[in-house]
Amino acid sequence: MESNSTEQQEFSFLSNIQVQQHFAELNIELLRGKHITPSFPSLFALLDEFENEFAYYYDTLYGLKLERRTHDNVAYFYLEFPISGKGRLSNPLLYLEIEARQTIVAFMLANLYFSNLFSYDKKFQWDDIKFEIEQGEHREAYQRLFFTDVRPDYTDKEWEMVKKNFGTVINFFHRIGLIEKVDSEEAIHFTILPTIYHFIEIYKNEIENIDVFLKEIKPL
Amino acid sequence: MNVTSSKQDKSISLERIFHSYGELFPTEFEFLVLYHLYINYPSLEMQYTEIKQAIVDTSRLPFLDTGKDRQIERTFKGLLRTFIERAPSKSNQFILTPHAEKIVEIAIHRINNPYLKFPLKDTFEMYFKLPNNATEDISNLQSWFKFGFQNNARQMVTGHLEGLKLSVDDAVKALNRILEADNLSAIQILEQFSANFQILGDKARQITEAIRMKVEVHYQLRDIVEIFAGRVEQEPSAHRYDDLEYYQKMQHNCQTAIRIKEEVNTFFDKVDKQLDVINMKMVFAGSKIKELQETLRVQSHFKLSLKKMLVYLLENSKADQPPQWITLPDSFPRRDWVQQKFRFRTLRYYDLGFLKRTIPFEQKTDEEYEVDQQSQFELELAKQALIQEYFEQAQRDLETAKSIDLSKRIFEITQQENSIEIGVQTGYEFIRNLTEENFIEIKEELQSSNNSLHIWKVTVRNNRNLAS
Repeated sequence: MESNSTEQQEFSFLSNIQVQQHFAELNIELLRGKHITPSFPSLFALLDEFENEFAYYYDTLYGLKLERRTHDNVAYFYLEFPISGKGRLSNPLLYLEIEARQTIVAFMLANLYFSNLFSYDKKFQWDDIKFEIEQGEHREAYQRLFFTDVRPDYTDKEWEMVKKNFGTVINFFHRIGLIEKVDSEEAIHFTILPTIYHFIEIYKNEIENIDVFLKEIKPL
Repeated sequence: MNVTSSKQDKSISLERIFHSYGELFPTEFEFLVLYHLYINYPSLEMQYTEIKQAIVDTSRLPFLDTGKDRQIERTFKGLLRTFIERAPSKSNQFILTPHAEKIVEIAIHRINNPYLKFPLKDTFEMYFKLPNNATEDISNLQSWFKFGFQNNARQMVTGHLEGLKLSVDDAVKALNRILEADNLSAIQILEQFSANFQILGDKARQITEAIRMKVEVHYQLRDIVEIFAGRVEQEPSAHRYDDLEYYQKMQHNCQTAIRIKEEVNTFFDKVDKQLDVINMKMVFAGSKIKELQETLRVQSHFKLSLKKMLVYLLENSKADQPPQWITLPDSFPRRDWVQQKFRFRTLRYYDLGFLKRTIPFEQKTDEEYEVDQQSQFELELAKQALIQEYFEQAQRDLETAKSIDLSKRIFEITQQENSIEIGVQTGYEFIRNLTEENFIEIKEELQSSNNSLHIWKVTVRNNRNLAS
């Protein structure tokens, strides 16, 4: 009885009128993997006010952790799996492995973010990405991976294919809030948000111990 | 010249610009050569060998390590005419064209903005000071607006702001490169930048202080406008009341003063916004510097590690067919994120024009009629079953008795079933199924003794021979 009454108390925030007004949207967005930043004022304010209650809710009912982080003066929330396992989302249909192309592009963006650490706006567009591939420090590696070979020039069609793949990932990152697109759906013009730290955190151990990691992973 | 014709003069077709572009601006290398010449031979004539030496010297600059040998003659020809020309009446002497000098000066001005060196506040006080006699005659205010504000004060502030913005951007760019330096030198650079940002901060404060004068200017202009407005509204003397020309002049003066006040305010608003952007950039970079001074070693190591990870992935991942595009190295750890898919599907209605959308609806039924029809149908079936039964009985009786009085049988059935139809139909059915072996005898006789009605008596026999 006591336990029931405590739980009722913990979930009582759900009867709050503000919570009820935005709960459906907030719940769907968080479960879709969205990072809630102050640029979503109503959802962010709700999480800010009922952080403990929502954390209890997701922990109890989903086995997920509601994380709050602050990077570069921007606070944000997202849902994360517990250290081991997938909580109550252990059914493979309920979570997604980070795709290979998402991993590569996310590491590209993380590097761009750190290369512009002092810039107030971390805005980039397709030309910046193209420059990295065409003229950047690691151009040969980029070209070998994206075009399968290294040549002085690539056809418009080949560039279009790379741009299309890149654009797909960018749109996905926009949807989950790692970046913010400036223009229309078609154009690649975006700001990398401090939420990119979440991706970095996913591979934090490997990055912090990069030399050991590379030694172990590289074929002899 | 009116505005339309001025616009037409400025309008050049994009195609013309495209074809002329190569002659308008030098390439990066050509520009460096021109700068070299501009600095070393200011407004002086130079010889071909000196130009040649400038090209060679420029191509040897360490940051221009392109691995290519510059073709001196080709570079010289590229510069000739547009950027370098022969000195008048001296075929072996050359000078920079005015166009080339202008381009170099614009670049110098842009890169090394001279406004940042000006004592801004003093200049402001001088140019923003409204004339004491502004209220006496509107032309005094107009003169200040045109020569003091539009031609000087506004340009000075804009120049200062642009210079400050460029300085901040350059400083931020340089700061972004710090993390790539080794730790020790990075800390030294950071200290320099810290000092540099201090200077930029002082400049920004100077501008802000100077801009504070706008409040004073704003109130002064407001007072002037009120004075001019008062002259329009003041109780006119009898003499002046009829003086339409005077009234219109006062009104015009007032409107001119209002327009000047509004334009100055609009400019100040714009300046405020620009300063906000510059301040935000500086505050952000400043906070990062402070943060970095404490965690530089960690941050620098982290950035390099992040880069190593990217390089590893780029070099060891493989291109793949769509939709994967890329495959990560087999041993690279895969990670997951919370990704519940939510889809709300609805069928889309396509209105193709020729097909009309139809909505199914329940048919109305006349239940009474339906029940009536149903019972009639069942009655008919029952009749058919009876007729069949009587028909089969009649056939069996014919077979047994070899003869049957069909008229009597029809009468009996009619009586029994109280339906002449069943009797008659049985008779028809019976006759229809007779064979050649059967014989039909039809006689006219009286029905009964007390009924004089003549009827036809039909007797059917089974064998034709029996009949005979």
